[in-house]
Amino acid sequence: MSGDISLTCTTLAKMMLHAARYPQSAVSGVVLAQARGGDTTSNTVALVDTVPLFHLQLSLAPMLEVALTQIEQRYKSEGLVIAGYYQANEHIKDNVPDFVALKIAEKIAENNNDACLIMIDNKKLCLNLQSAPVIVSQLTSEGKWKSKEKASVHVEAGSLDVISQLLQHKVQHDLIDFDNHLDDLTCDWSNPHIDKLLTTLTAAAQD
Amino acid sequence: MASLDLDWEEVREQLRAWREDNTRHSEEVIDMWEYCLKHYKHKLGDERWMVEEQVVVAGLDSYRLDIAEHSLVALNEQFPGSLRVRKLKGMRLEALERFDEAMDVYDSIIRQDETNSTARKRKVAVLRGQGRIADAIKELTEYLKIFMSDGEAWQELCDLYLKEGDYSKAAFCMEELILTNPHNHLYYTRYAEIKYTQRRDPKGGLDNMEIARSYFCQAAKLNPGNVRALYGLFLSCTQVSSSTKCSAQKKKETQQLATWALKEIADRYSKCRTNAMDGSKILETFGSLSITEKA
Repeated sequence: MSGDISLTCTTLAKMMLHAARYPQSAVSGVVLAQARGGDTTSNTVALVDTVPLFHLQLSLAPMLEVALTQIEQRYKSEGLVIAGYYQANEHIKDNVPDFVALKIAEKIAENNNDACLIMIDNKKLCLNLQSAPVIVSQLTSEGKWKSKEKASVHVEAGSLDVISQLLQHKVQHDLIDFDNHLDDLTCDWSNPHIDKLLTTLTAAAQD
Repeated sequence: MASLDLDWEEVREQLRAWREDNTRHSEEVIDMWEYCLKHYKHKLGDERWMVEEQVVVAGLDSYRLDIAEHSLVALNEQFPGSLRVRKLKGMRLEALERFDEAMDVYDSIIRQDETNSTARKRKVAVLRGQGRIADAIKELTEYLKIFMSDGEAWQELCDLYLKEGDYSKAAFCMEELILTNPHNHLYYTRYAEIKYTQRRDPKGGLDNMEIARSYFCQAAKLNPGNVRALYGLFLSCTQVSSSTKCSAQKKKETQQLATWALKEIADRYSKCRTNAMDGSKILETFGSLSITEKA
């Protein structure tokens, strides 16, 4: 897969907020993309949303299975599919995928040829983002994860400013992941309140 | 900075509660200290020193070294030669990534007081902070040989093994915890989750799954509000009954249990009137996983 990858503001924002909410632990989640209905003309994979999953323990299977099943079901009607996995490691300087990240990403790749593995670069995560702190990889034909050139990873214009604003206002404390949902079922991991906030902020930025 | 509209007595209570619960809330502690309590130090009496200690740790956590150092100096003046303060100095060195010096500090504490468990635990933290997980595991096992009843340490060891993907050793740690806390549903859930993850084990995949099912079951019994346990119970039942080695009688029972668990889950969702997931959809979502249709 040699195509480009694009991330919407929402996709990147939820990932960053998740990492910022739990600075002391590793976090993980999945990214969603529009299902390709046989359309192979476009070479770009557009990642349109993120679902934050876990911060307690990343290497256990059962709740991951529950989460993936629920997510698939919820977004089926919107034509969205799981298109990748993201992880921020516990250690600030560690941005190398561990066995958990590789295994889950491979599973996703079995169902989706464009699947990507996104590692969050903790060190670059700050209150005034200068670049998107992510390392995006895709499977090569030899079955290895290869990180993409910065030039082929596109982030929606203005996202970095908007996300920096969110972090400055400590919005991360309002972000919900699947672990939160399991502790309290009223917590919605699709984070509609963050979506709403982002719509207002991006509209304001465009004015 | 002027103090905010916070009642200093309320802030004191809050910090006290967090100390007693052993929760850090580092960011909040720093804010409360900076905008309020530091102006009322003289009113705190002896409690001041506990608060200063809390502030040091919070400051190191959130990399507000300025604040941490200020309180550390005050503590050092008040208690020269104290091992408890020396431990904080070690933690400051850790925050500065001067790991070897931090190790020396902790070793010096242990030399002076062999029974000092916190200094030994900090040594594990130093190794973990350097990403040396295998060494951290070794150090922690040594620690547990001496302090066998330290539940927190067993839990940490379990986490470290899970990080390394060593599920059977992680399971062993959880067994220790269950033995000492037979009524804690969280330990049962975690143990079951580990066993479930071990299903790919070439020997004993089905056995592990059956163990997972029993422990999820026990967790759900100890705390019917434990949704993880209910989901786990459903999944493990589904897995067990889909095994070719499972007898017809057992298959039937397991399927009934799976159906029951799913109904309980749907019930939890409809009770809390959440928008996150429609209770009735649970059956639709997970029904496809269930073996009942295939049978």
